[in-house]
Amino acid sequence: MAQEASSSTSSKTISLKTGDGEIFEIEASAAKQMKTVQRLIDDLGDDITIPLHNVFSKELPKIIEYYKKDITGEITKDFEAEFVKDLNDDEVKVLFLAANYLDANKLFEFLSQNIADRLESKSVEYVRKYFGVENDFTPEEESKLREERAWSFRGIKEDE
Amino acid sequence: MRRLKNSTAAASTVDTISSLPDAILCHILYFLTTKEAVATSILSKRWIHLWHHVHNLNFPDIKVETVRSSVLFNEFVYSVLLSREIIAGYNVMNSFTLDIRYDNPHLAFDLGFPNIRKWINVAVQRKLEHLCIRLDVDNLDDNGLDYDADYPNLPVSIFTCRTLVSLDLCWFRVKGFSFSGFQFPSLKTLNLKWVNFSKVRDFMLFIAGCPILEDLHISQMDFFLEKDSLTLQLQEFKRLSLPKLKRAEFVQFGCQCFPVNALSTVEYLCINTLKVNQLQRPYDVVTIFHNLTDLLLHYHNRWDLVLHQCPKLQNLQLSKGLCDPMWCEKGQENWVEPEFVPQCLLSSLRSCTIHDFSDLQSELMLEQYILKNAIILQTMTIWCKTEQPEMESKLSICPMASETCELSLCC
Repeated sequence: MAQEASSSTSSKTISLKTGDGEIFEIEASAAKQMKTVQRLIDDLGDDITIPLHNVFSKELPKIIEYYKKDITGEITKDFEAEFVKDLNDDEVKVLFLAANYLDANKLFEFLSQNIADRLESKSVEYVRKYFGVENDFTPEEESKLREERAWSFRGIKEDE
Repeated sequence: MRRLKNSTAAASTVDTISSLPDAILCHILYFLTTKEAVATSILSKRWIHLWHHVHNLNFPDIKVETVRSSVLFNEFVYSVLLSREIIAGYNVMNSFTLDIRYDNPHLAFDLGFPNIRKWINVAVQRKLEHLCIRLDVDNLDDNGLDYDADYPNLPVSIFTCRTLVSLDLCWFRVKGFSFSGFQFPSLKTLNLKWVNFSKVRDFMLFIAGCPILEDLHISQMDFFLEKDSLTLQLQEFKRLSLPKLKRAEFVQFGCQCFPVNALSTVEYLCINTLKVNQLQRPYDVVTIFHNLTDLLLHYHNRWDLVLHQCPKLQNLQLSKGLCDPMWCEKGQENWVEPEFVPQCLLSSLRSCTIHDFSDLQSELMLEQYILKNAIILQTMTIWCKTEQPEMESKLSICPMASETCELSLCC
């Protein structure tokens, strides 16, 4: 397999430490794809274990798995479908927030699409809970808005 | 869309999506259908206007069955366009997707299409990058109309939209535009289905005007050419080149003057009935597909030629395809054994799948030839409609060049 010898760090690995104290290794070329990590490497050097306070041991391995595939150019639609197949909505949300924190653009884009797909035809209440939104409308204000945007609410599930 | 920038490593923990900045929320909204994006306006007061800042129109699945639903849908689209322009001051639209089916021609031609044309005309003026418009109408026959003749006219303003990166159209007629000097300098993906160009030369000029095209899909387009124009067109377009083309897929595409050598850079090629001149006669210019690794082909009568043209072929699939007698190749009876073993069999072919196998002698001989010569073949899978015990036995005793080859016969 052809290796890209872009710099002396092409086969180097970086140590990442999660918020709950676990350490994971990734290749330097994968770390480059996560801009937050790269910034930390630039500041702290690549020999030190990089601390990631807001990413935890549950989600970091998945993110590493994604970028392992990315650096070999093997990300396909099939791979992406498989990647999220067994994740529930909350697990995807956690990954999404982590990808945002890590400034991992490709994964972020993919997960944005996946979240949008999962929210299709879900009820307004479900989406509020999912996003963590407090409803600050009065019932009258809400029903007025629903009326004005009637076409948008056809076919969206009502809550019990 | 702009990303959240953490200036220090110890940013405050973001544990809910709603605590993210507007720009990121709009990023998720971008991937929703417009209907759902607008619905988010009632999540909370903060969300009332967020959807205005999403610069696309996305209607992937609309069915219009009554006059009322047609009117409501039209009003909805206009109000979205207007509010974005007035409230958010937006004059950029990145993507417009509309996949719509009308229950009858009156709804479609009288109430629907005039408005769709207006929306397209607006969209193409707003730095549009992705356009996907798929139309469908039921009950045409009942109204004396014909699917293959009464196409709605495509607004020609589309052809002036030089920012387009992907274009996907289904069921349109193209006329009234002069294609000389036409260019889509940014177009990478083109998907045309049931698009009727009134002149085949317009179609060829159109393709020639997409220099960085990577992905090409053409389906249900059959051009009829008079003999004298055929020679002219062949001459004019024989040097057509699509140097970035990676994937090409043709389903029921008949264009006698389309030069097969324009496809020479593809890695993936799917041909499910393609009527072009060069495939049917000995060539003056033989096209070698240097990058082709995946080939799906409707059954061909000159396999000896085809295999030689794909020296790096890894995955081969054959099918009868949609065997409309008008489209089927003739002379399937003759198997011509290649003079010398094609390179792809010696060094790259890993999998071979045969669909719709029947008991034609030539098919069997092709399969036996591949099994006998494909040195690194890993799988040969044959699908047949009914049990073929004779063929099964013939193939299982066939000597195989590859020791690790797995032969599967499925029904």
